[in-house]
Amino acid sequence: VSWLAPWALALGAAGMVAAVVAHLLARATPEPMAFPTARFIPMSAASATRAARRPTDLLLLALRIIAIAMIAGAFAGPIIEPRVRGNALVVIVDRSGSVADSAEVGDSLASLTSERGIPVSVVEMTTGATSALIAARREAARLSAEADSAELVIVSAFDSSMIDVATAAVRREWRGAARLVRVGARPTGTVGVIIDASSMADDDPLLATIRLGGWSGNAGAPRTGRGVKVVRTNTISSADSASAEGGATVVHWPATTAEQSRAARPRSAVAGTLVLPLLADTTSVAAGDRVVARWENGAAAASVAQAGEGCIVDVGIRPVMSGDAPLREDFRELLAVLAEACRPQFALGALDSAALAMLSGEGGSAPLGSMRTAGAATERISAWLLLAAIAALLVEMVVRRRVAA
Amino acid sequence: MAGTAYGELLDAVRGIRWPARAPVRAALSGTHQSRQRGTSAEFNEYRLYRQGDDTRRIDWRLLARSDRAYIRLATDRTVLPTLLAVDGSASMDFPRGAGSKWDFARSIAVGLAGVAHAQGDPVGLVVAAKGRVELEPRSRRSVVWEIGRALSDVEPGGTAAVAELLKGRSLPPRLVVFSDLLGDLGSLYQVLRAHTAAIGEAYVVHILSPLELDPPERTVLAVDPEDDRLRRPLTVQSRGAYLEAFARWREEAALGCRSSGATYLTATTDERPDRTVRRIAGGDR
Repeated sequence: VSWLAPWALALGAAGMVAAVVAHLLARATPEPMAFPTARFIPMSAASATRAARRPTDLLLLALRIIAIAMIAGAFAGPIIEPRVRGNALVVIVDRSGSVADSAEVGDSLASLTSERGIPVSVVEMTTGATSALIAARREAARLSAEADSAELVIVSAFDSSMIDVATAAVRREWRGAARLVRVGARPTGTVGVIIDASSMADDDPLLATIRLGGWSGNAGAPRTGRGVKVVRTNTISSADSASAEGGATVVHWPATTAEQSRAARPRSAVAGTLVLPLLADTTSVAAGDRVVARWENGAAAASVAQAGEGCIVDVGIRPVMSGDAPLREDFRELLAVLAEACRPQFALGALDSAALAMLSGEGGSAPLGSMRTAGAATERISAWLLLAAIAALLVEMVVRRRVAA
Repeated sequence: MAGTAYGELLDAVRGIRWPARAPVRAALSGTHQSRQRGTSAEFNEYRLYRQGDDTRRIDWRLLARSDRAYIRLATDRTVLPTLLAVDGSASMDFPRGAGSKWDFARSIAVGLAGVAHAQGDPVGLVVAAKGRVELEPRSRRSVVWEIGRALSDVEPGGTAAVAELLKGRSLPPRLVVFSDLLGDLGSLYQVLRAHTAAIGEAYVVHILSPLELDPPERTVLAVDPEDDRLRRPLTVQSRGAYLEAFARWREEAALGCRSSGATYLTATTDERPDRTVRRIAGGDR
């Protein structure tokens, strides 16, 4: 048995001691003595405080102590824990886009669950580790009826995008270690991506960027099987839309926009969205389904609109047509982000060792008693204890009246 | 048995005289001064002859010398019938057993009976207890023994009041009440006033226990032996108030008895009975 409010037990113990002391020192009826001139004694209750030489009315004392104990027990919130039933398994599986091959996740999950005949609960992580850990804790509370401890396993590519500022605090709520099972991550950058630059002019500065990035021609077959096409016209043709419907990424980056004095270099990334420095002649685009790049003032610089199996990336960033900007690394990164925009999240790289240590935690399996919520069972036990206390007090009242009589 | 029990006391009170407080209206010859002037040898004074006086009482020698008719007046001596009324209610049985107020009261009653009998006064007894005891005043030799025996046979108890026993009965000139006065004092005052108004004399001997005057300091639940419902805790805190109330009541009782014409005396059970008898007979207040 464990208690939700153990301090109530301490209070109850103090109350019982006080009851015993009060019983010994209480207003006991003094020894009766025939006294003819009793009428001259002032009127008062026919009892007086005196210390008992030995306890009397033990039944009364016992009933009072029982009542106090019951009340203290009711307020302490007893939780009757079942007998030891072993360990459970809570598995968080990464279903986000950072995992290269979902089949590998399935294989890992199968190997985890097949090797032991214990209760297993699987939590899918799609948006991040925080929500997955919260869900895992909820599952652990549910499993507390079947096991007394739970092991947490996280099957993930451990991409840095899976954690946020709240993850560490939520992770601490799981009072045990977590076993980290790493699966293959989706490659970062645009390795294997082929950008179709057939519609681009030969002097298009973006062409130099594409070539420098190794994304043109037969640089390699994309693992996803999806190509990227950059459209530099002001409007998208029906053929381009059809390509998008077929699964391609169409980057609509009009070339007729005015030149800028300097390049829009990405400054930072927040939750998967590039933030670009605000330019004097900033052009915004419609928000689309998802914004992949924003200006510093919050306006969308590039957005993704889902189109069938693929997507269309509408870009409002105006590249310089002269200078070395298209040849620089940061510009290539910008293009890589746009080329990868159709993916649910673009990868920001693997978690560092500190973050992995935070996720791994310390200790062994987490005890489920601490995660168990005070449910109806606790309330029922408390109610019964209160009823028993009331019954004891009623009996005490009857006995006290009989003793007084 | 009674003689054995009270023998020492009777020896101790032998020789004590218990004179009447005023001349007694009685015809029988005795030791107390009678209100009647008679022809006894104890000459008192001369008085001029008045028509109707017995001519045999004229002092003829004085008539011859003074040529005036005087009659001789002499003080008659008579007896003083005495009734001892003893309270035998439950409150007198305190503390229980030997040394109780009842024990003490019956001892001094027997002692006074011995004193009265020794001077030739008829002595009677009434006891207000569970069973009523009534002995009319007698002068015979065994009367003290009879009184002692009657008192020894009585077991104190109940709530009978002495005053109720005396009401409506013909009382002898001297009445002595032995009581703790915890009964109906108003009725007793009525009896005393009626008795003393009819030229009788009355004594009220207030019997007290030292325990009542100085109760124990430990906490006890005081229960009135005559009313079991009256239960009050006597504690260190209430003791002072009790002593004050009890003293005030005793003063009121003494004043009431004296106002009713009776001689009021207090006697505590730790006093020697013969000394109490001596105080009563001597009229010591």
